[in-house]
Amino acid sequence: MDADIFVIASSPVKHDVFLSKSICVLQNGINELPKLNQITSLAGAPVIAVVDRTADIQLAARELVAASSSFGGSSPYSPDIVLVNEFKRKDFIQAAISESLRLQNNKSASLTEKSKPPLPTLKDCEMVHQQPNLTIVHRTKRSSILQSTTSARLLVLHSISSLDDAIDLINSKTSSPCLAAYHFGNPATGKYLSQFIPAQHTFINHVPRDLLIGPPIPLSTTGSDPKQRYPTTLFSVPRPVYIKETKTGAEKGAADLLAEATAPLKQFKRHPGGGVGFFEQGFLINAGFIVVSTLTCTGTGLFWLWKWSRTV
Amino acid sequence: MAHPFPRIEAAAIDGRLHTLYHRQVQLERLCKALIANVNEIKQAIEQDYTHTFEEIATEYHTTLTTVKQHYSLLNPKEAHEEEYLVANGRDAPHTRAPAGIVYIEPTAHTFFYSSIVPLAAALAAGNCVVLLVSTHFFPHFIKAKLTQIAASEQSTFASRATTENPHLIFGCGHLCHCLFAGQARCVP
Repeated sequence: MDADIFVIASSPVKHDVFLSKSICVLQNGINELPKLNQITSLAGAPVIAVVDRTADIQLAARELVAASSSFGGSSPYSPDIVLVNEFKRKDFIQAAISESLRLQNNKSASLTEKSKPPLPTLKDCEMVHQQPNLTIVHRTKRSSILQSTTSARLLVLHSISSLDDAIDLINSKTSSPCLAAYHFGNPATGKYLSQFIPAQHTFINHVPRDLLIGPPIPLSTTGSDPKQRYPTTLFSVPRPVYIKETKTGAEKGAADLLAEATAPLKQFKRHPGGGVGFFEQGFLINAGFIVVSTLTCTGTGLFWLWKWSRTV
Repeated sequence: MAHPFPRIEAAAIDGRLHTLYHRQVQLERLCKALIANVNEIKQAIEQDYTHTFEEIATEYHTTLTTVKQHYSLLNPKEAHEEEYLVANGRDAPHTRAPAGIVYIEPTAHTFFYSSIVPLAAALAAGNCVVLLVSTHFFPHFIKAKLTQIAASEQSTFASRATTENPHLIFGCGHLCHCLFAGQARCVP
C-alpha cells in the first residue's frame, strides 16, 4: 500500500482535531455513547447465557464450552456468566465436562504447547473442573456476579430458579444492554428471554463460531449484520443528489386543505375486548350453582307436596 | 498544532482513492502481501497466542476471505454509471462518498483479523488509513510482523515505481483526475 494512503502509528494518536475529523474505529470500546464519527462499542458490556429447563443440555454444553474456550477464551463474545436452571445444573456440568474432555482429546495433537497464564483469583466460586483447555467454576453468591471479567478459558455458572429470576438478576446487575445473549430453551422461552433481557445481539440455541473471532460488533442505529463486522458503508457518508422534482399534485386552495385535514380519522376496528372478566366469571359460576340447586330443591319439594296432597 | 500525518492528509484532500482503480490496486497489494507472508504470519500468531492450529487457520481464512470479498464488490463500470446518473437526468439517492481518513485502534484479541478487516473495508470505501500498531503491548510478534510487511511493501512499491516505470504514478494520477467527481474537464 502507498505510504500516502496507509501508515502505521506506533503510539495512540492524541491530536484532537485529527480525531474529531477522521472516522475512529475504537475496538477496545468507550465508556459513553459514541459520537457520529466513532465506530466502537460500549466497554464493559457483559455477555450472558441462560440455559432453561426446556433446553437441549448437550447442545447448550457444546455451544457454551466452545464459546468459552475458543481462541484462548479472550473473545469479547465469550460468556461472562452462564445462568443454568437449578434442576438442570448437574446435567449441564456433566455435559460440559465431557465436552471439554472430548475437545482436549481431539486437540491434544494440535494444541500449541505454552505455559498458561495463571487464572485470576475468583471470589465466591467453587471449582468444578480444571483442565488446560477449560476451567468450570460455580459462582455461589449473587453479589459477585458480573463484577469482574476475565479473558481466560473460563466458564462461570450460577443457578437460577426460573426465567423471571434470570431476568431480574441480569437487569439488576447492568443498566446498559448486554453485548450479546445466548438463550437455550424452546423457541417460546427464547422469545420471552430476548424480550426482557436487552442485548445488542441475541442468539437462541447456538453460538455462531465466526462471532468469536475479532472485535465486538460496532454499535449502529441502523442495525448490524453479525456476519459482516465492518461493511464499507460504515466508512463512507451518504451524499444523495436529487434532480427530479417531486410533484405534489394539483395546487390546492386553503379551503380544500382544511377540509381534507379535518376529515375524521379512519379508525381501526378493535374488538371490544375483555369479554367476561375473571371475578365476574367466578360470581356467575357460583350464582349458577346456587340458582340451579335452589330450583332443583324447590322443584322436588313441590313434586312431593303434590304427590302427598294426592294421597291424602 | 500541525497535522500528525501530513502525507495522509494531503492524499485525503486530493481524494486520491475516490477512483475505484486506485482502491483495487491497494487491495491487490494488501492481499498479495498477506498471501506471500502466510507462514510468517501463522508463526507469529502461534508465538503470541495459545490458539490451536485449526483456530489460526480459521482466523487467517476468515480475514483473507473478507479482503477478497471487499475487492470483488469494487465494480468500476457500475461506479461510473452511478457517477453519471445525475448528468443523465436521473436521481442519485444512494451516492456515497469516502469519509476521508480512518484511524483504527485494533483490540488485542485475534489482532491479525481485528486490524486487517477494518483496514480492507476502509480502503475499499476509498479512505486513507492510520493503523495503530504499538509493539510495546501484547501481542508482540504479530504486530512486529505486520509492521515489517507494511514497510517492505511500501519500500518495494516506491523503489519499483521510480526505477522501472517512473510514469506509473503520473499515469495513475491522470486517470484519477478524469474520474474524480469534482473535475468536469474530462468528458468521457
